[in-house]
Amino acid sequence: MKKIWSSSILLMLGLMLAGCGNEQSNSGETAEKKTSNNTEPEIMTDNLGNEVEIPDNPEKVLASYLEDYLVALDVTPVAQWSIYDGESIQEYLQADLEGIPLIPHDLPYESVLEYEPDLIVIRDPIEQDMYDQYAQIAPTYVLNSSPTEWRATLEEIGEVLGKEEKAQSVLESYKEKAKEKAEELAEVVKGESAAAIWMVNNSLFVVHPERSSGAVLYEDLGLEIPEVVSELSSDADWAAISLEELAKMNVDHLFFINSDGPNAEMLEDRLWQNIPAVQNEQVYEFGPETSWLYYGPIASEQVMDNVVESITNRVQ
Amino acid sequence: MTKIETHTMSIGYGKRKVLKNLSLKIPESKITCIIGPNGCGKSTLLKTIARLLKPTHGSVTLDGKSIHKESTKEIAQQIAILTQAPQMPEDITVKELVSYGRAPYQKGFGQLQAKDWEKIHWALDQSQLLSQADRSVSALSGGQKQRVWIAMALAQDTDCLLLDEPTTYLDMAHQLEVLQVLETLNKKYKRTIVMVLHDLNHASRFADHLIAIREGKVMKSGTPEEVMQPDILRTVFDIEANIVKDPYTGKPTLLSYQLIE
Amino acid sequence: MNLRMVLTKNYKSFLFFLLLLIVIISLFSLVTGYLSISLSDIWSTITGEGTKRNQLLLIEFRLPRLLVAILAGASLGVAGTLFQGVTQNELADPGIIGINSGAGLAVVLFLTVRSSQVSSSTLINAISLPVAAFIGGLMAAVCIYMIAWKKGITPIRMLLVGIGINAGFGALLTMLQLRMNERDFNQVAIWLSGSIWNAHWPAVFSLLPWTLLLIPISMYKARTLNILQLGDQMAVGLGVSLELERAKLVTIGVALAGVSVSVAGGISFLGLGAPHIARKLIGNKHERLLPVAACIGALILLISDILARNLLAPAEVPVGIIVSILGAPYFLYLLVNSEN
Repeated sequence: MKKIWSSSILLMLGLMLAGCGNEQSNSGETAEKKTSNNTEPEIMTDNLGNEVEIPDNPEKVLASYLEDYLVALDVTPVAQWSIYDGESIQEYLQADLEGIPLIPHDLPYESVLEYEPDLIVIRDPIEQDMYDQYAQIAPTYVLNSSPTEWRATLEEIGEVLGKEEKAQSVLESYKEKAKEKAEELAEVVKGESAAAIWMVNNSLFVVHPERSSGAVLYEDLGLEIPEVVSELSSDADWAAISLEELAKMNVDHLFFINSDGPNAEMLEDRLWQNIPAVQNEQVYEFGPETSWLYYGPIASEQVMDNVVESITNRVQ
Repeated sequence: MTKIETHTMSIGYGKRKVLKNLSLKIPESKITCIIGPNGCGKSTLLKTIARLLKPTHGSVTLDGKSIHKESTKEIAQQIAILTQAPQMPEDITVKELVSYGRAPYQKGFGQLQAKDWEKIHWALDQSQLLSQADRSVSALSGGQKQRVWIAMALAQDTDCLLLDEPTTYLDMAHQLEVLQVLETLNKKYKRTIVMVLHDLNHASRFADHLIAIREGKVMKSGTPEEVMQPDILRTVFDIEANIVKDPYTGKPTLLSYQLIE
Repeated sequence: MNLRMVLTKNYKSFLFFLLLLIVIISLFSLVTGYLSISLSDIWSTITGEGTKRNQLLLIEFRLPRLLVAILAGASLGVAGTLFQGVTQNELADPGIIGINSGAGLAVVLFLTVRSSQVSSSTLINAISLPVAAFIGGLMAAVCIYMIAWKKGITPIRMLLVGIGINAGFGALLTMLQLRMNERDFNQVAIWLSGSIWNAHWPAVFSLLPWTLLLIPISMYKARTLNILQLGDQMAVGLGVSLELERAKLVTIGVALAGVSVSVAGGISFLGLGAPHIARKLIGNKHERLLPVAACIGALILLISDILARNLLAPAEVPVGIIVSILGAPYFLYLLVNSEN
């Protein structure tokens, strides 16, 4: 009886020693790598307070849900964000991400290990314990910038990837394009209002004027904010709104992101059909595969293009 | 030898006193039987003597010391109690169940020592269970099961053995088997035995000392000859008793009885 | 039952067989998963010649997880045995009497109170979480004792009051969860249903001392547990200080259940099922029952973890759900057979 106890404990201890031994040899390896590099590795402090050693020329970057920024900076990720195994992906980026394998959004360790990235960038708040495990695979950097600030995010990611200049040039060209498009629109629809409405699971949401596609509409393109929208007190990116409230909205251009498909129940509703914008055919419909629900330089630019195209087409 | 006494002991509250002001001395090295009608408090008395219950007034002493103040483990080395119908575990052997009787003496991880095995062996022998020692207890008959419990109590190696209705539910032959084991224990090994018995004739036959209880009070205590009297049985049991002398044992025996007119 | 007699007679061989089974299934666990690794890969990794990827996979991910499954499974198996012994009820389980909810509530409170901006050291976590869980479980036990005490505590009262306490703590936990943001809510929900997703070396070292200490202590109590099975009065007659020993056993059970919860989240059924199965195999004598229940608990959790990691790879099903799925048919089978 006692023999069995002691031999099992010995077995466990043996396994653990094997583990410790390997851990030590691991750190030995990385120490060697450090000294063989001539350039000083860059160290940045991330959101968790970790001092992360950023590799010089990362070739296999994993930045799930941040692919917009990577694409803008001409960096190809080693894997791209998806819900589970492809139930949902960022359609609007597929032109540049086609062929990039998928990784589930919760980043299971073995999936991450499968891709053997050399740099991991994470946005979500993450436990130190989990961070430590990712950091075992590759230097892991948790972003400091806020998800609602795409410009700051772009700059930070630019810094992490060593592409500060490219980030600036992307910002510059966006700024110029926005100015140009805003002037174009002003000639045609000066003073007119717009709103972005999202229908999903038979519920309606309206975009916050300072977030996501809202920021593009109002801040970048200078369209007017309808009263109903500016009176909403929610701080969410997309605030819930009832069909009645929508019917009362006085808006010239209604951008409608429809995740429920052409057979959506609400489209049959009389209230919907009585909305002035619907009656005047000033509703521009987009599917969930567009970038209206996302953040990033590419997402914002595509929204800009969508808006200009829709409005100028209609005016013609 | 262990001396058990109760001193003006009562249990219960107000009108619901189960035992009233009892002062008893249990005779050492004798067999004492407690008899009485249902609900008279005989089980309660036995359990209080065994410190399983606490009196509301008065005390129970063991060698002069209050039983409720002593460590339960130490008492277990001097008194063994077998309650009515204890829960028999399934699927252990006779030997294993009997070995639980050594609990008051075990230390540490509970490895049984040579002395423990000696006692266990002796207990099995006394209860005629040596041949059954490695059988599962669930395979035993009712009588054998009861003997296992007795063997367990014996393994406790105490001077005193208290048993609550050890023969109820057994058939006649098994009843006698059990009682004869107890008798040998007393005659040969001088153990003090106190039992609650249902059957008056068994009580009369095997006891040296009888205590007759009714409604929490001792009606009479003494030898079987003294207690098995018609007028006493009338008071205690509400019956008209017809007592004769047993031709085999010479003890007073209840031949028959009538209800009181 | 014939099987039980056979196994009891050959107890040492049976125990050895169980331990061997644990080793074999452990190896199987190391080899299976989203990423493939073969036995020879394992060997080369142990001898220090494996690739970095295999080293990480094996030593950093799969091995600690395996050890957590074994330790937590064994702890829960023993905890359940203790509770069933104390309550003299084969269907008792630290989960239904609220110990797991108490532990869970304490851990969740502790994590939310601790600011997530300040990432605390893993070492502090490893030490403090099991302690928090133990205290939470103890609080639940204390509540049960306070409400159910009436010159002592009878098994049936402990159970009934415990069920109420479980509901109470569960409600508190839900209220706490509802005030969290969606992401945290989901995290807690997953953790509460039992998930060893986060199992890594600190978790192993967090659990190990408790298990190494408490399981032998439980073995020490085997004799007391045996005697408690004879009924309260007989137990006292044999010299057991009933309330004191009960309290000790409850405390050990709470500690074992609590620390398992702190590492592996709430896993129901194990505390109930492992001793139950063990008893069917080896009977009620605790010197035999405790080690077998520990092994069975470890095996159930090991197997469940293998399934949890592989059914929907690379996504993971929380292991508690798998355990429940495995457990349900067992109880249905018991129900059907109890008619006999």
